[in-house]
Amino acid sequence: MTRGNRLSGVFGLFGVFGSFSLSGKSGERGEMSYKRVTQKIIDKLESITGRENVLTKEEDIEPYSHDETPQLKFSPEVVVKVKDTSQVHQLLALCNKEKIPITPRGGGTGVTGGAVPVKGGVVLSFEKMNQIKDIDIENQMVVVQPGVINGNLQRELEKEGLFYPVNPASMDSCTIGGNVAESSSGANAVKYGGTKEYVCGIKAVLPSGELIKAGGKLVKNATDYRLIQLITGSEGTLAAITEIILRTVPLPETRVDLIVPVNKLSTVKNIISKIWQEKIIPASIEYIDELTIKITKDFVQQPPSLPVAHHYLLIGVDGKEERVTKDIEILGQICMDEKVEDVLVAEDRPAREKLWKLRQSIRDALLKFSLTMVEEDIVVPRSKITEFVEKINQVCSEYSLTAGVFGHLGDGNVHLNLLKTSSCQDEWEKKVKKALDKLFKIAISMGGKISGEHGIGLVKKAYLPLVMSPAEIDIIRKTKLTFDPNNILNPGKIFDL
Amino acid sequence: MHIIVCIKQVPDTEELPRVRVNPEDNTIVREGIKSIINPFDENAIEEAIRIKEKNSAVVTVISMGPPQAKDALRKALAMGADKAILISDPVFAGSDTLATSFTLSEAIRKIGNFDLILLGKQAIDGDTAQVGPGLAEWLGIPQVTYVRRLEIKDKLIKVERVLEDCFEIVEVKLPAVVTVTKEINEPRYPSLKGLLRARKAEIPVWGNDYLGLPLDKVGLDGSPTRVTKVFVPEPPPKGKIIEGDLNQKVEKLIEEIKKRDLLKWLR
Ligand SMILES: Cc1cc2nc3c(=O)[nH]c(=O)nc-3n(C[C@@H](O)[C@H](O)[C@H](O)COP(=O)(O)OP(=O)(O)OC[C@H]3O[C@@H](n4cnc5c(N)ncnc54)[C@H](O)[C@@H]3O)c2cc1C
Ligand SMILES: Cc1cc2nc3c(=O)[nH]c(=O)nc-3n(C[C@H](O)[C@H](O)[C@H](O)COP(=O)(O)OP(=O)(O)OC[C@H]3O[C@@H](n4cnc5c(N)ncnc54)[C@H](O)[C@@H]3O)c2cc1C
Repeated sequence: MTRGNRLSGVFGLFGVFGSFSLSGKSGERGEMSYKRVTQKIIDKLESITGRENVLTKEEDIEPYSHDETPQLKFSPEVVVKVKDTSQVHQLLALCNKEKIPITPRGGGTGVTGGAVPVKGGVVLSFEKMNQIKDIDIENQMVVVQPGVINGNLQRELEKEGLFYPVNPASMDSCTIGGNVAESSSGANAVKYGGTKEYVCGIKAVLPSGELIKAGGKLVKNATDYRLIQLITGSEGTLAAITEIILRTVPLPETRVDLIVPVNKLSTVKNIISKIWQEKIIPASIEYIDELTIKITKDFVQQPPSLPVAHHYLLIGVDGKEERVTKDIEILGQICMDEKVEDVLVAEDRPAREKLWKLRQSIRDALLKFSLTMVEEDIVVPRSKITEFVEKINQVCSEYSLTAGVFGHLGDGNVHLNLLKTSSCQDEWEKKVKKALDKLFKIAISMGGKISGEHGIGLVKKAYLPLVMSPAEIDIIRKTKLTFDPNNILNPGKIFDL
Repeated sequence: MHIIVCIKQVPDTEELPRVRVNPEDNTIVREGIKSIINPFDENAIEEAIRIKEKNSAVVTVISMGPPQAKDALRKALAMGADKAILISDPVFAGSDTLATSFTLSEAIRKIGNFDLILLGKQAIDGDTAQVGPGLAEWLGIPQVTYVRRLEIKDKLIKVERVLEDCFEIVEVKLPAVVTVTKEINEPRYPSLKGLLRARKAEIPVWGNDYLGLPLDKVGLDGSPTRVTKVFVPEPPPKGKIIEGDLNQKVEKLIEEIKKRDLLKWLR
């Protein structure tokens, strides 16, 4: 397979947004000067990491040519699995010297193409750097290598009575390194916030090969430009992260999840605003629409039993037993006042797990329903979110598009998944483009942005100028060049240079 | 119609690593362990409620266990059961399946007229699947185990039993004992209204003062089963992961197979 071989399906769709291409510049700076990976380079790579950690055969590198973005594929020339910071240092120094593109990769669960090596070159896989190095109970901090799977960390911490609340729906396959690079969030963000709220220290290798250490086991630190914050959410374009110090919180005594089936969006809106009025902070307020529930229930084995409704809210509360008991009563009262027929309660672990398994299976279920899927991750101020969901429904029906809508309602962040039900690809793409155009404008007029947690990566790149001014893009472009003058680290992502 | 459902509170499987066995009598130490309703018993409750919703029945749920088993009974009430009774007395502690089924049968006699008794197919901790059949024997009524479908036909029930490679359709006269598998239904989540109601519900506790059972037929003394040893099995040795690209992996795999002579049985 040749470098940069794109199996473009839906990706072609984004070509129509080409008119947004930045400040009239065409092509990538330095693209022409990237070098190919020669046998000599491979020998060098093998001397750094050992032969068994360097993959070149087509069937071995295939899994590294895509992430979870539908129908997006670019083949790397070589995949290197690193074991420690020193290997990362040597690799980056080599790639920088030889002008070879290098793309960091965690679990490959990204949905915007972040880990896809658009320019070929090296995929730098962190899968073997998966050690939890230190659980520091006294400081309530944990030191991890970037390849630690989020769910594994959660389970290990739980044994020590600690809690890492950031739980993306992909938690059993995404890595902490990927979470930090994407600044990911999970369903607990309403109360606990996302990844960015927990990163206290980062060890990272710059494209030059130099090592930087920012922060530490510190809950406070005002000694530099916010290097941690800069790297968090930089989608692997500024530095390769090799160690992360995360803050944790005490494990809540108990947790209960409520399922609220609702028939009108106005009821959803009222419930949410009353929750804030009552000064309750649930861990989660998730939303799932009727179609998404139906498709997902057909997809999972032994789905939980749920009554039929147009909209579902999933409200999770955690904390001390008495507090949770009280919160549930108040939440129940709020729902009853809004004439919700009944609220269902998932109290014990198996009952809750069944519910969250359904929630976590949504994306796979939608993709099975329609392999061609365009997913958006729009975020608006949370007071506007039900209004925005209403608009989604209006716009979709205007263009007769089928959509599965679900997401983190309590954070103002919903995932809009446009599902291809008609057979004509061209016509569908056109309608999708028009509908999205409209919805982005609406979201922006509400003060929203085009991504709440999935990042820009490759597939949302064309939309960036909608939400960032030329001056803003210019300053991040200059930042990129300061870190990576040769543009070797994950080139082609977020914006074109 | 009156349906009685027998439920057992069991340790949450996640808690199993923390479950301790009392070295003196080899029984489970349940204190401080998070508990759930035995999963199959939730199916039994659900089935009873579904019958109730269709045929207007009364559902009574009973459990034998320590005082904390009331939590399980409350959840059953929240799901829609009408009445709950806890059978609890220090003299019942340490019951084996014989004593458990005997005590339950006597409690059920005390409750009086019933048409159908539903149980889970087995408990995920004790795992014997003997309490249902034992109960039927003590009561002298028919039993059908491993039921995945149940249909009420007046004074008869028609059920499908799951067998290893087929299922069996059986008709049984009521009253009868039925134990159910998880295929029979998907248990509902309890409603918040139900839960708040259940929190306030009185759950009578029947001890041996009330049941008056002979002491040599209940608890440890009434249990001919003696657990002589309880041990944690050795975990199987860790598998070896072969690294490298595809060709290296295949080469190394062949090497391993040869080295360990794994194909000798072919000869
Ligand atoms: C580690 C260990 C040690 C043990 N030690 C002893 C011992 O020393 N002496 C001894 O006599 N026995 C001992 N037992 C067994 C005993 O406690 C059984 O667990 C009990 O009799 C029920 O049997 P079962 O769990 O196999 O239930 P099953 O027969 O598998 O349960 C089938 C169904 O019966 C019903 N049911 C079961 N139990 C109850 C209940 N209590 N109340 C209401 N309904 C119920 C439920 O519907 C359940 O789904 C031990 C068990 C274990 C795991
Ligand atoms: C079913 C499903 C559910 C999801 N749910 C959520 C959700 O609830 N919330 C959410 O926020 N996201 C969600 N996602 C998206 C995705 O899981 C997250 O973006 C996740 O953080 C990616 O982690 P990863 O390890 O898979 O990273 P990858 O996909 O491998 O990489 C993502 C980006 O991080 C960079 N990167 C990875 N490791 C490093 C490193 N060590 N140093 C520098 N850069 C690095 C890569 O270059 C790439 O740009 C979901 C995805 C799926 C498939």
